[in-house]
Amino acid sequence: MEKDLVIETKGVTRTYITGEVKVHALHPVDLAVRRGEFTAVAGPSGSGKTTLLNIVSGLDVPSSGKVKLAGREMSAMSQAELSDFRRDHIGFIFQAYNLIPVLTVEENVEYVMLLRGVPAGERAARVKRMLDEVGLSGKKGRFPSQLSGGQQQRVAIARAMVSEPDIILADEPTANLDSATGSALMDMMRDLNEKRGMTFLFSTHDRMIMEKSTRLVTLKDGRIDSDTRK
Amino acid sequence: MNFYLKMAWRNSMRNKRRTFLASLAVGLGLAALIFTDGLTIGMLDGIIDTATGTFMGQAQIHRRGFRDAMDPDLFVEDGPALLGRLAADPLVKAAAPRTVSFAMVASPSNSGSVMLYGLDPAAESGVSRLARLVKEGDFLAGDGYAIVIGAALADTLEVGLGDKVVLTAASAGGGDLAQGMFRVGGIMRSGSRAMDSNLAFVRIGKARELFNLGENFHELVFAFHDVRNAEDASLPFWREYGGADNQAEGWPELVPELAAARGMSAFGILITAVILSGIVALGVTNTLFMSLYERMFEFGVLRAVGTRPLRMALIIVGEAAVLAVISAAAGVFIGWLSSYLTAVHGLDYSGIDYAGVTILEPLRPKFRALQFWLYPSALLVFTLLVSLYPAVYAARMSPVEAMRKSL
Repeated sequence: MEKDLVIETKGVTRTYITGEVKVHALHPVDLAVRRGEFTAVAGPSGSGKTTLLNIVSGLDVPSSGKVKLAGREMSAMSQAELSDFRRDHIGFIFQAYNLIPVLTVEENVEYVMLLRGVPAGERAARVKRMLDEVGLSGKKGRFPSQLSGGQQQRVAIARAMVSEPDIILADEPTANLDSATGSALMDMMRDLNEKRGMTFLFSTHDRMIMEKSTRLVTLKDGRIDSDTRK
Repeated sequence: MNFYLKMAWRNSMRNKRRTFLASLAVGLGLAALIFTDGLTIGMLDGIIDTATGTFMGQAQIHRRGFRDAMDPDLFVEDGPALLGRLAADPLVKAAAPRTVSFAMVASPSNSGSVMLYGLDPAAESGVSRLARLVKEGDFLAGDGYAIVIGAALADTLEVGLGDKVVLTAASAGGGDLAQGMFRVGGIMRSGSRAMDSNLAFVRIGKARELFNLGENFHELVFAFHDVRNAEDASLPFWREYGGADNQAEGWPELVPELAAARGMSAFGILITAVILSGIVALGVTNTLFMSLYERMFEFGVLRAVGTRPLRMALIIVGEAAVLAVISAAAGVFIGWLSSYLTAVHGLDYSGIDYAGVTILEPLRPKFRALQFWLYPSALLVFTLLVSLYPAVYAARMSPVEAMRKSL
């Protein structure tokens, strides 16, 4: 059971200090996400969803508590080690401005593999396979500005998945999309989750995502309010 | 093309106007440096050429003490033999002997004091351009009684070509006064008031005869095949022809003001380079920071997906390199064009004295290879160094902070 855990947080808190004001964004949070789960972390604005995602991904550090991702304790890692760890174990999808504007669709997807030192031939083959899967192989030479919002998010999904990370973290991935495009995108991710067994963790307040997820964790005022598996 | 270079190029081209303006500003700095350097070198070389080529020669040999005392008995020691050795020296292109005396020159109307030179016109053509300055008559081509004087002196004496003047000077071997009558054979217009008022030239044979000099002379003027030898004080040449009795000196010792001016100009160029470097530093830093702040979220994403801090820094340095290459190309072109156009037309400061020398020719910037490789290379290196500040900023940026700042 223990080895199936991709994410494990124990007593994680996060406090922001602005001048003399302290904001407790997360109270002690214990969360365990198993391999292959399709989990949504929901809650109103300010409930701590994004903070939690940032901490489990190593983008931010907890004020206290411990975070393990893919079996490794993250709090002891240096910035360079965290970079390598994210590169090798985590795929990211943000709500907008996800892609590097000066890179083509193909180059955006290729970038993480380039960082990992994957040989050029293998990179090209994996990019092609991934773009086929997200239905964008005909647009590989286009720049992000030449794509619709939905297409850009599909490229982001391809980039997040191409190096086959342990988990994909998506911070409100449908926030800037219309409902039909958002729903199609979620179906695509669910399909990839089922076919490949990839673990997804979303932060959202989109009801559609909550409905399509297989596990729903709700946060309220920085605490886990409920945790339901469907 | 390398992935990161391609990225740097495309990022630089994202805001073409900003890149163009920044490159133009930096490029103008480089162009100003190239132009200033070219003009300074051209001006100094022109002045040195005027000073050495017009009359003084690239180097001279005198008896020790002669230049201070101007004593007619202080001949160049063993002069005729030294002249023969000098003429045969492989470093030396030409050599000419001169006698030098203070003299009074008088006409029926007026009189004045001059520095009287006895010259060998044929030998003189190898070391100076005096003959070219004679605008009326000829340069001592007539009989032994011909004298060449400056136009200003001719005006003072109220004489013209063919008129007679009397020269009076102390002769050697006792200081008795000697006098001789000469006929004005040439009038010189050099553009230098000092030369046109104070110099007079006669044939060396006549001067020796008149002032009882025998085969001796006071000054041995010479030119090198390579003018740089005149500045090279470490050459054994100077010790070989100088020594206990004689003193062999290049133009830097003969006109120290000019050598000092050259040193000052090098310092001036350095100061210009420092000021321009400051402008470049501010321009580059500002451009890179503007670009960085505009793309905070993007940098956050780059960090989030696993770009190491060092790679982040290199992305910024790459963009600075692109900016530097464009700026260097612009600067080299503008610098070359402005220098070329100025060289074609010249800047006319004729008649103005600089470092003890009267400028006679238009000033023209001079190209040097280092203007087109060293300065642009220095710009590139300097820009890369300056870019380290925003690069380190980018490298140390927290991805969460970066994404938060941009929202």
